[in-house]
Amino acid sequence: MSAIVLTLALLCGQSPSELQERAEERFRDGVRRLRAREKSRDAFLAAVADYEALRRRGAANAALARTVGNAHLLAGDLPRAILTYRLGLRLEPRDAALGRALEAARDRVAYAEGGLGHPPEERVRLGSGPAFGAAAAAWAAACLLFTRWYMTRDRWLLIAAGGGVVAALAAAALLLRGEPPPRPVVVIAADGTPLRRGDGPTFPPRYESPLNRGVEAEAVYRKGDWLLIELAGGERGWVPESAVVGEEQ
Amino acid sequence: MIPAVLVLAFAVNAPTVGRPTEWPFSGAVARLVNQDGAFVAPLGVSSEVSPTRLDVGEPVTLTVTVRARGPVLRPPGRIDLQEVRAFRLAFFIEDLPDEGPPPAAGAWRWKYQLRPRAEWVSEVPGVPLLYYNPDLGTLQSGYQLLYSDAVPLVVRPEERARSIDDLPDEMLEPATGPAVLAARRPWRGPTLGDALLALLGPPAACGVWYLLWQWAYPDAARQARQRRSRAARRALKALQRLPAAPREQAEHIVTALAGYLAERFDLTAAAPTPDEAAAALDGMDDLAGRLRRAWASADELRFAKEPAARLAADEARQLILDIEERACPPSS
Repeated sequence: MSAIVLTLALLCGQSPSELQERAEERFRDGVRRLRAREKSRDAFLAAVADYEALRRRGAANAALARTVGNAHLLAGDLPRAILTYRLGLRLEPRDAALGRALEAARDRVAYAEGGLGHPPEERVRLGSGPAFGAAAAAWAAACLLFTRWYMTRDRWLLIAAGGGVVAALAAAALLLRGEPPPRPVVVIAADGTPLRRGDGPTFPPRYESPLNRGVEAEAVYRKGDWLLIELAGGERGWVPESAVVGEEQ
Repeated sequence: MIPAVLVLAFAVNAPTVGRPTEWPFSGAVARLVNQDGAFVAPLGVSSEVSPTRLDVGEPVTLTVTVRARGPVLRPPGRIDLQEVRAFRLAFFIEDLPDEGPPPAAGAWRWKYQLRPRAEWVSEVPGVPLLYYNPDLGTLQSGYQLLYSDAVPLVVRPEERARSIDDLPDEMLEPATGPAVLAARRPWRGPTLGDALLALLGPPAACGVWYLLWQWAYPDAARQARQRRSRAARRALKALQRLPAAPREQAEHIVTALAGYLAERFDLTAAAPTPDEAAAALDGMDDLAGRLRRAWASADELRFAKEPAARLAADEARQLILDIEERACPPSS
């Protein structure tokens, strides 16, 4: 896949490695300016533009997501940083560095009292990949045990083989049940955004506390310029689309 | 009769009575223009904004151009944007001199410097051009309003000094190396090939393993086939677990043999004699002879020591295996 990316990029002008190198320089320049208390946002946004060019050419991985998220965070765009980290974790859920970056960003969010808008807790889920692996391993073990029983006629081997078959069927059932497709992630872009009862500014807020920038939610439904979103705690309400950053923005 | 000069003067000077007050009057007076048989507005207004992405407080330059589609009785003047509410609320407004080359005949151009007041400003509104058309009857309806298109703006909040002391060092360094260019996609599930390999691979491998084992250990393979007979399995298992007392050992061996013959060859006698048991092995005379000897040996066990019991049990086991091989030869 990297060969295809390289070929396309050579045809289009700048090679991916050149883009990457330039993006790294801009990122480091931004950090230097930040440390020197100079204006640095444009340097980080220029680095983001280069990384986005790499992404459009096919690059997609946790390292890229982490760096782009860090650039957004250092440029002062907390909502977009959180969104980028969340999308990176969707690619590689167990990337520790991405998880740490997301936690550092969440520390900067002013969550409302009472738990409204607090980030979701990490749930251990058996993804489809591990389920397939478990089913295949259990089936292979069952075949081995059955073959050995056929050789030796040891009853316990036959029982163990039966257990392997049951385990394989259970893992296969998990795999076939599948997981529902994830809803689009959105992040509140501005402080003081109320979660309204309806799709319009005349509807009253559903809760006393508004949501601040950086609060994460999932988009449930879109109606015109308004989005019905669901917070991690299950609370639902309407916000204008301009008040959030989402996956396609 | 009104003198023509007075009429002309009246037409060029737009009346103040009936003039709308919500927008600034540009001063232009023009009549409808006939274009291809249809009457169209005599003037058009357009806006250009640069830049369109900026920080709050930074200026943008607005260039307003008015073009005439026909003769104009009185040209427009600079539109006072301070009198336009939408502009006043969103921007600090300053008139700029137009230092560029003069526009073509029938066009007028003015420049303004606008500074967004806050980051909520999302566009430069349309510039209103209010002019007077003497063709349109009453004094009030003679005033016509045109707008230029609004231009979207992206106004970023002011860049404030940010502390990075609380961030770990790994966040202040970009990721490097070819890992950044990798294309990872969420796993969408097994392909047909993956599924077939997972399903059929293990049985195939185990089949190969079994064949290799059979080739490497032919005796073990043969014995495994022989033990396939349930009667043989039970008898062999019973012969492996002998009771402690020699008398009971003897009865145990005889019972195992009798049970095997009853199940395997339908020997109906509950407590067969050696002759009855040997008769069940019809056509296997040598094995029948060995069966009689094994039976007699078991009888003698009542007074024998343990090693003899073990030998008798081994002999009985081998006898059963040989009977199985003779009665149910292995397939090739």
